[in-house]
Amino acid sequence: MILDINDVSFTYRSSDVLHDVSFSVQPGEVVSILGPNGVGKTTLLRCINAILAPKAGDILVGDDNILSLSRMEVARRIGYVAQQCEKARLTVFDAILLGRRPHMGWSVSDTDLKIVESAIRMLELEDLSLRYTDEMSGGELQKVSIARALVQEPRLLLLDEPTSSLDLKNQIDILSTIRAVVKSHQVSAVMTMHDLNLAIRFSDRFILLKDGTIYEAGGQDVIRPEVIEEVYGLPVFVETVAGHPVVVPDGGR
Amino acid sequence: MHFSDGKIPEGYIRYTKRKVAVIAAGILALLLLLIVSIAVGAVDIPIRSVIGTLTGMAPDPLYGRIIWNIRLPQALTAIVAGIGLAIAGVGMQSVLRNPLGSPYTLGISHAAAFGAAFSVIILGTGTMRSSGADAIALNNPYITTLFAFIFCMVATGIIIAVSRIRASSPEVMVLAGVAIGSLFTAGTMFLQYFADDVQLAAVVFWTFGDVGRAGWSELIVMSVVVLLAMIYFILKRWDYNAIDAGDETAQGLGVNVGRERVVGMLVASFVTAVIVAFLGIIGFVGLVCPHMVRRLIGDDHRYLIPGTCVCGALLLLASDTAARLVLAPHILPVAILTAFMGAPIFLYLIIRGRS
Repeated sequence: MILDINDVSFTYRSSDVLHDVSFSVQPGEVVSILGPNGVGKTTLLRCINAILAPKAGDILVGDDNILSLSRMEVARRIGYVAQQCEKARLTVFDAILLGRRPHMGWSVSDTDLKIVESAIRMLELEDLSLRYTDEMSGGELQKVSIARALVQEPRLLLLDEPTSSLDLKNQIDILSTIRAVVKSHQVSAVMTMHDLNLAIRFSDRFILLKDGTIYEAGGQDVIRPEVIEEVYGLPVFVETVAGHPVVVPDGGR
Repeated sequence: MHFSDGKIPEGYIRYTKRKVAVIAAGILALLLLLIVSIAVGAVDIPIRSVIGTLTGMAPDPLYGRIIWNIRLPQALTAIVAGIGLAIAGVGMQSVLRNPLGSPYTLGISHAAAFGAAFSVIILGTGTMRSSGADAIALNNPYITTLFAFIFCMVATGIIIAVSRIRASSPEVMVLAGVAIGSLFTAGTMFLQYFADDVQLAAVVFWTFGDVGRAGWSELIVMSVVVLLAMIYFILKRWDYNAIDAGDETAQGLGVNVGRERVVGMLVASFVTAVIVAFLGIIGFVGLVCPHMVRRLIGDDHRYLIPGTCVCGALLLLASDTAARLVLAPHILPVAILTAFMGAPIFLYLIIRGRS
């Protein structure tokens, strides 16, 4: 077990955001957290990463309670890709090298440089490697954030809307890369997603949140029209196109 | 994860070497400027005598006294204070993620001025000498210094206390700093309104930052504090790079952002307090030097922090040298020159854009 969440509740200014959330994640799994805006998906990721402390419940990463670890110990176990990433006058190489910080001694080692160079190729950022991040598009920056989390060599990747700024090809490329890394190294990824069809295509399991708690969880069998309608409040069809289940919203226009 | 196929990135290595070269060139320029700065003034000393005296190879009996007692401590004070103010500025800008962060904009310097005014006007530590260029003197400079320092730290304490209530948010720190600055400025004006002309002159004289005010003992105290702050900020270089990428990302990389923010502010304010208390207010260096260096070598704190130290030292030493020359034989306080010299360069860099 890489991640074990037991009865987690979180309160913000005396209003319940999350209550009684429990699930666990196995090595080699990609798990998507789905649900409407403001349901607490990002809050849940922040709790897992110990940026926020839950009001009740335990979060175990491996055998350790996340709240008993120092920030640095958390960073060696969990790579976090935030939804917002700030730009700076820092090259892509340096921005990714930052991911080695939790493992670094006084100075940058040759190993650190090699790992970053390899990650840059993995995400096809070679041509941008010496560009400043404040000259880049939102999508390019998102790839840099993901590369940074990968060179952190974590057991668990937390990704908050990892594809929100990416174009069609990059969405597929990045999620394929993440999935390949998770499978080949038996680590895990937990991501929040708004694009249901991308989530369906690249995840092993789904956690559907409604009103701050888990409405339904499981494999592709939970992606049923009545479940999606109940969670998002919109009638949908679930069709199979080219072998992939596809959620098509009803209504609009 | 296993990135076993990685290679040493040659292009990146070359790129980092360029930054090191820029900083090395700055240090070289600083050494040359130091020699020039010692040579020029009311009495011109030949460069050969300066080098001979400093290295001990050919001590010059005639100029030795001037060099060791006046010129060298003043030049070294300019270097140390320049480093200290610049590093305080870069530290504040980094932890607050705000380009306007500096001891001057955050009201720390104004608090020092208030402390000095309080000491001179209420405690009567200022007086008038009858003759010469230094007509105004502080008859108890140590009390004045102490009060300037105390009020610097009071201002810092208030800024940090206010921000703690709001979870160390950088915006709150900046706004609190601006408010504190206005408050202490008003306080100083209030005291000045009720002061007699001698006290008023002493307060105004005190606020003109001047590196000639420090002797060897003050220089040693400042050097120790500045050196410790330098070590602190250099140790934090990766943390500040992480904070640049956003608070959440930094936390995900193992940085305790809230704590770094408070400790960074404390260290920066302490350095400022020590320098301002000894020398008076020297604005602009802390605000502008980090930006000059950012434009030359970028935001990477591994190079930005040492680069800013060199830039601060260069700016203050150059200003002080110019201050001794422009109206010779009159000596201008360096604080007037820092803005005169720094502002045009800075405007040029803004207009030119980033290289």
